[in-house]
Amino acid sequence: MQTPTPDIIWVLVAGTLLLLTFAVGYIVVMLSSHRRVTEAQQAKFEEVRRSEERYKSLFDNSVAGIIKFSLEHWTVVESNEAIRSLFRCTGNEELQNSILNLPEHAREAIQQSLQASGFISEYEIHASRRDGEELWLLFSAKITREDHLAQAVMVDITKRKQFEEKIREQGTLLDQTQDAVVVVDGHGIIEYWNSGAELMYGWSRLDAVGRALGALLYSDVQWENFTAAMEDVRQYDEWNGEHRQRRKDGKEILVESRWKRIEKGAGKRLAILIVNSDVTEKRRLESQFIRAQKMESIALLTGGIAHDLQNILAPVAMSIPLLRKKLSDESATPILNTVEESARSGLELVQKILTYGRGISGQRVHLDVIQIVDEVLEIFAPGIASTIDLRRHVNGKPCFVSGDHNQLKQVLLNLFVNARDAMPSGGVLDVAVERRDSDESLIEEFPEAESGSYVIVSIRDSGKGIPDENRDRIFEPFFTTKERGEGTGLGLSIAQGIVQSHRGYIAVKSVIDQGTTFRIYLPASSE
Amino acid sequence: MNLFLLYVVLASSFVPVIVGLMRYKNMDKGAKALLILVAANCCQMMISYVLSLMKIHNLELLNDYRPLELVMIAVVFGFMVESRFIRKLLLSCSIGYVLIWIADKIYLDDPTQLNSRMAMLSRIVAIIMSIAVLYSETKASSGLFTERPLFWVGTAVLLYSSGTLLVLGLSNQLINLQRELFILAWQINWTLLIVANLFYTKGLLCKPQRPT
Repeated sequence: MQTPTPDIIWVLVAGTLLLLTFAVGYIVVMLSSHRRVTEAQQAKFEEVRRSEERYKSLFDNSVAGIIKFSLEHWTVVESNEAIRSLFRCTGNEELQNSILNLPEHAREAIQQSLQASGFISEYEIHASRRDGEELWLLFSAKITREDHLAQAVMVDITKRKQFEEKIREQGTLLDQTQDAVVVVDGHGIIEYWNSGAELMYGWSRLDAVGRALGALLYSDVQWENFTAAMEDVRQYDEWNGEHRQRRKDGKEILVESRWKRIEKGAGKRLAILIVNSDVTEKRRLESQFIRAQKMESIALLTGGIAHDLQNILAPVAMSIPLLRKKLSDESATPILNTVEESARSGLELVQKILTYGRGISGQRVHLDVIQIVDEVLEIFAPGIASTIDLRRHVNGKPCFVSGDHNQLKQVLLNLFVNARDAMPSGGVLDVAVERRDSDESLIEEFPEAESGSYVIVSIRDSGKGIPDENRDRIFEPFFTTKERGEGTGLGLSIAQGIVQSHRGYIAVKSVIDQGTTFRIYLPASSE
Repeated sequence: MNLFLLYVVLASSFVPVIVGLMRYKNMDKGAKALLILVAANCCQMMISYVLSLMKIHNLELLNDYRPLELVMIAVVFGFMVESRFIRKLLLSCSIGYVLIWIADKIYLDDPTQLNSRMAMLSRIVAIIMSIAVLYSETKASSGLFTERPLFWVGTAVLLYSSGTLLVLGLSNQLINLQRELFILAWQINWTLLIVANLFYTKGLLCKPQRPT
């Protein structure tokens, strides 16, 4: 047996230990490296897990319903609590049924959009919940890249739709009203213009919105009223009153206007709600009614006075022939003549007043108005100045009415005399007779007028015209613009009375310095 | 010889086999190959022990088992590793070793002695292969490293091969110098073999990494 050399032992032990150390070291290094990698991976994994948890929390706690489904069969793959609550479903099976119960046209539209572009945005669906209650959904979806499923978000907009419907209904109601409902901002710029305003002013909504109310509806004369109303609303929050406004066609209308300050939007900016009612016709009718009442009262009063005067004047007139027989003094004859003349004039005047007060009946016969016009012209024409150009316009066909010959002559004569007196410096006097069916101008002027055929006599002068303030009074008895002693003021009122007793109408149009036109409408009778 | 240690080694070689057989249904190909390897190791140990009891020379078995063991280790690694390059390396190493072993067997082999040349070479090749697969696994691993069977098998091979490299290489010299030293060397070998068997067992207990 050899004695082992220390070298070999040392080599064996040291070498083996060295190799093992290397091996173990290598493994330790690898494990350490792996641990670091694993820790990093673990951290990453943890982050992913947290992120997943966050997203899951978002998914689960989202107020909006989130759903993932296959586009082919609408099979629900994933859904959150909100969508189940939206459809009032307790389980996935019920939710699946609810999804399949979405309207066919909506599903087709969604499917087409998703297939074509991969997404659909804010599509409104009218659906129903599981218990049958109606439901409006705002649907947005896209196709996911990973699994080619449709991922959709649904939001319940039922309340919003109901609110919109309510607003729409209110808007429709505003459009239904005859009144003009207008909203302007603090600078008077129109923001809202309803259908009533379109009808009242002739401006369409598109034309009106964005324009200044003052410039659109108020003439220069009325501008101050507009600015005053604006100022009142700014100061006192509201204003009520009447304004004269201008339509698109230039015609002026009278409106009863209510202005109310409102605050619009989140910024509470100033806006004014204006509600206008067209009272032009109402005021005109009221005026007519008041005038009619006034004239009726005058007629009653004057009739009574005239009756008493007649009773007073009649004995005077009857006594004059008796006095004439008893008085032999020739010098008394002129005095008696004067008394007789005055009494006769007084009686005639009283007769006229009585005619107005009692109304005119007369004898109705079938007569041609053209013939009457010609008769009157025959009497009237020689008496007018040569500076007046008298023109007669008739088409030759007879224009028959049922009326009193003398009364109609009186009417025409009154009007001719007035026309002549309106042209002291000369001018043109047009007389026209025509037969025409009742038209808008007649209905507009006299809403109570019956439809049918009318004989219209127009007497137009080119005189100085009638001032606005006198136009409504010209038919009043005793109203005259002539000098004292030149006229009684009964001519036009009696003419109107005669025409009205013939179931006709008398209208007047006058423009200052251009002239006046009287138009007599008499119901035509058959030939 | 320390018989207790020998019995522990023999017993330890059964542990991975029993565990492998118990988990056979849930094992992937790599694990099944590992089961074959540990079963072969166990058989080789048992046969060697029986031969020694019968006073029959068992050195030839030890010598001839080396290429088989190395090839089986390469196969196990090949099934478990994912890198194609490493697979090619494993194939090259095992083929190269087998060819060298055949040449050595024809021209240099002495059946009466432990072939320490080829023993050392087999350990060196095993060390290379285990380092390669462990490195590859470290780079490719995406899960917990210690839950992967390749780690335990590779570690077992690396530790065992490193620890026994010089023991096997100097085995003949040691037996000629002093019998106690030889016994000490073999006790080191057995100790590391026990560790390797336990690591194999742990490898077999890991969850399968690929479909069964």
